[in-house]
Amino acid sequence: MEQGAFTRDGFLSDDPMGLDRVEVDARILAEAGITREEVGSALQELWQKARVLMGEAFEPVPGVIVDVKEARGRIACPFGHPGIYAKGVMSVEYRGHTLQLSPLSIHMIRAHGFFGGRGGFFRVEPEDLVELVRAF
Amino acid sequence: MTSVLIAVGAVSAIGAVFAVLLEVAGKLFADYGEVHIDINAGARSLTATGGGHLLGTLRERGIFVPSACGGRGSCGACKLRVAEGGGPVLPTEVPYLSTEERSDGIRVSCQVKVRNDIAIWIPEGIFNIRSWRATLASKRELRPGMVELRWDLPPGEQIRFKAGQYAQLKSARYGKVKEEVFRSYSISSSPGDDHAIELIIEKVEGGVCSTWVCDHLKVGDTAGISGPYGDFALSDTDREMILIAAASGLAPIKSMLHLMEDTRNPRKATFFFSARNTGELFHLELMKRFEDSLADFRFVPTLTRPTEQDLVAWSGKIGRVQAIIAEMVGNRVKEAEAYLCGGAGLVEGCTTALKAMGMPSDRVFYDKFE
Repeated sequence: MEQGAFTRDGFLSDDPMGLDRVEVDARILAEAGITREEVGSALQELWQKARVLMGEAFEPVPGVIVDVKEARGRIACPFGHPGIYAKGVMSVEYRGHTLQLSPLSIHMIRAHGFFGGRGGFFRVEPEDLVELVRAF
Repeated sequence: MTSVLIAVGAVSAIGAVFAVLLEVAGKLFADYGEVHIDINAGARSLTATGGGHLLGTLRERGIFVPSACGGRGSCGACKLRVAEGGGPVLPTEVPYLSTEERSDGIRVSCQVKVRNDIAIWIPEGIFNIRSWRATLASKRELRPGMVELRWDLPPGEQIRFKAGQYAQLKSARYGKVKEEVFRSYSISSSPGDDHAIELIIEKVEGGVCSTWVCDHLKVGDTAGISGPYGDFALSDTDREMILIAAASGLAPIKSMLHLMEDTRNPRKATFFFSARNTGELFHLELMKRFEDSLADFRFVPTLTRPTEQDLVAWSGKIGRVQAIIAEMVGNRVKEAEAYLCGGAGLVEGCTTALKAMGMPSDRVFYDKFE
């Protein structure tokens, strides 16, 4: 999780809450009545559909624009989960904000309920994802 | 939830402490003596001090098995066949091995301890892999977030590689990054230019090595580099070639074109390069030079998300590579060969399209970003 181990900034970034952030994020999802598995599956589906378009504009539903940029390399899950994940960035533009996700961050949401530490590049607010999932 | 995480953290920490203690105790007290490593049924034989991991033991003897994580057990890239003496498969290897691989004796070499005599199989190409401390001779920005590096090998040293192969670069510590990491990058220079190695590297958001390269590395700096790795290479036929790449996937194709230029190879070749917009294009002058110098070569960049300005000024192709190939190559695809380098989306999407157009699978060669 620390800076410079798997990534330059670490997965927690400078979030003063540390891993307690997971508990706070879990409550937000619970209150919205959506599970982390539902969120992760929706994001995974977006990744699969967008990555074969090679940058072509992808609008799965009106108002949601998705773009995937794949990069060389793979990265392991910092929670020690088996498997390695492709590097890349999926940008999802929706209602004026842009969410940045990667195959690993999608996995960490689905398997570990970890949405990233506040301040990190791949941090996504659960409220935004709830809105996004409901748009489908 | 916090208590669960604390419990998981505590168990992991205790496990890590025991693992470190076992490792230290093994180094201090376990004496495995000299062990013999038989390679490829007697073709080579090494003697080493027992107790080390197979990947590191081979590396110390100048045999560089590819590893993307540098032996941390997190990539599974350093697999090789252990015929005898490897001991049982460890839980840390299981996620990286298929049932078929396990029954065939394949092991993750950074996890296998050399405690006794051991017999292994290694592809012949690995014996050609060497490691150097190279000096950065030049660093050129090709477009924002993309650089081309030229590494000079130490005086008198040379690399023998096939166009299409890759090298591994070891990053240095910088800022808050306290670990050195190994990352793989395709060689973009000509095989004839064998006293140096050129690499094209795109900055990955949060990437440890690419950030070091793009933001910290300076001309004159030195770094560890090893190679060549991989089996992506030109076939020895005269079939028409369909070359496909995006982003830094241009690197191995560029190396192939240098080789064709150096050897005056007359094969018909068309290079389809996918970019979102003109801001993602680079090496256009070089591609023009190849069009002039090669017997029958054409460079076809295609934009998938042109900007408004591109729509006014761009006179080239717009659309996905598959459609452009169908339009420009048509039925000739059935007799051609394809060479692809890029992300899984590009490689898998184009491979499916080429097969649907009648190209047999065994004529599709690729280096997929992973």
